[in-house]
Amino acid sequence: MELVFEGNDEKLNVKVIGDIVADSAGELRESILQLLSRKPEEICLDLAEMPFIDTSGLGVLIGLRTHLKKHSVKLTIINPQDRVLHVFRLTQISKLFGME
Amino acid sequence: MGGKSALELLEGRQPRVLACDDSEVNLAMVTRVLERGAFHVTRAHSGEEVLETVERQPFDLVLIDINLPGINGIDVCRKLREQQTSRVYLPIIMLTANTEKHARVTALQAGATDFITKPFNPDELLARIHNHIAAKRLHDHLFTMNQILEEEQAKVFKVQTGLLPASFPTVDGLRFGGAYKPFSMAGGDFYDAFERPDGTIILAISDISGHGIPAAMHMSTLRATLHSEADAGADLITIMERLNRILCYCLDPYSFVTFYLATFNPQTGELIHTCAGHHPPLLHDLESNVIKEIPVPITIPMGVDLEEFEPKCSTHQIMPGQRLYLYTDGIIEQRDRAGNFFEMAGLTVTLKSHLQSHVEFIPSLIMATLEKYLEGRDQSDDLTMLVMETPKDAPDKE
Repeated sequence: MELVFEGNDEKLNVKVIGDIVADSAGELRESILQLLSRKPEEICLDLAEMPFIDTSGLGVLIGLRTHLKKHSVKLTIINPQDRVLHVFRLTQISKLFGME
Repeated sequence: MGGKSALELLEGRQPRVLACDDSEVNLAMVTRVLERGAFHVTRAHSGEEVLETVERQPFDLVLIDINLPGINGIDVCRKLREQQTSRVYLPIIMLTANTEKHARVTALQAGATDFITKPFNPDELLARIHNHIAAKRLHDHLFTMNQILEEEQAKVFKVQTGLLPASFPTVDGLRFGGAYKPFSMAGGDFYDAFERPDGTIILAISDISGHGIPAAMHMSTLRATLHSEADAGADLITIMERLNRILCYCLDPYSFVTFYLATFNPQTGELIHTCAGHHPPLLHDLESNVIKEIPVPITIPMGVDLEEFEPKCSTHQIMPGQRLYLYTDGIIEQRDRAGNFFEMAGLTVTLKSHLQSHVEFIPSLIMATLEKYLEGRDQSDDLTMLVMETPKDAPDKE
């Protein structure tokens, strides 16, 4: 997994390239939590280049959402691939990210 | 090892070296050097004697001349390595003449740890032996620690396996099958099927994100709560809400639990079910050999949010001669060597091919198919499946 950071301090875009699975989920969590020091209003995960996410990955997204909410930072998700969107909808995690 | 680590056993004990040379003069010289280095030395004069002695007592290192009458040093080395188990690591140092460059390569290939060229510098010999014995002790210590961890993990696995239903309800010709294949020794899936005091059957399947001991502990909490609530006559929504509340308090924020819960009435064939972030069940009509996903209202997974968790129930009529499959996502998310997912298609095709198989074996047959699909690679998630089959004849409605 690789992360590409873009955007300004108000809205940070993070492009995820590769799978978020048990091996990479921890790295994603740490990288996103580090962004908190820049005090953004929103962190947006662009998942256009993420083919697969497993339960550990979903756990990190859910945990990050809760954690960022406490710091009044909104975590959003854009451009999920069909397979990933299906998982988000099936598990209703889409609801937590306002993706419906 | 009786609870004592190899390091503890060796610590304070004089390191034991087995030295072998057919020349009495050389052996005496080596012994003198080693004893000066505070090693305990046992002497051998032939390869046969080395093999016999090593079998009788443990050593920390073997020092052996490459040229021996009878079995030569290289063959002794090869034999020692053949007999070696992962429990015991025995460093072997070869003594060679400066002219034997090729023999040194052969010795290393035969499993020698190191070699010393004759005539040797006593300090170099002692320093090398010290280093190899230190490495051996570290190996033995790590081996013991690893063994303790594996034993502990096996205990957790045993406790966890004990939490799965030992037997299935024996009601009205219903037949069940279940299989659970964790990703590591302890996993995060569970399934259950049991009869309530009112004669209805509870069916449950769950996937706890993550694996290992924490997941196994949450699994036992879930199961205990499910049983006590279900036996006390709680309805499905109440059970789901209680489980969610418990998990919201005890789960770390980066974990969640998906849960499917149903009651089945064997008299009427009515299935009432609810779901939190889990895959809906599949229904297999055996006469037409058609498999369909049956709809169930799904709310967010458990352990995430108290307010947004809104479980709802729906009812589905199960007909005679149908199979209901509950499964975890690991089943459809395994990938072959080329990266292709097993997918729902892989699952339904396999289930259809087992139309004639006894329901008790279906989950194990699916696990076997997945093992083949993985082509020898490790599974990437826990694999769990529960099946219930209704009898072909209509249930008795007296």
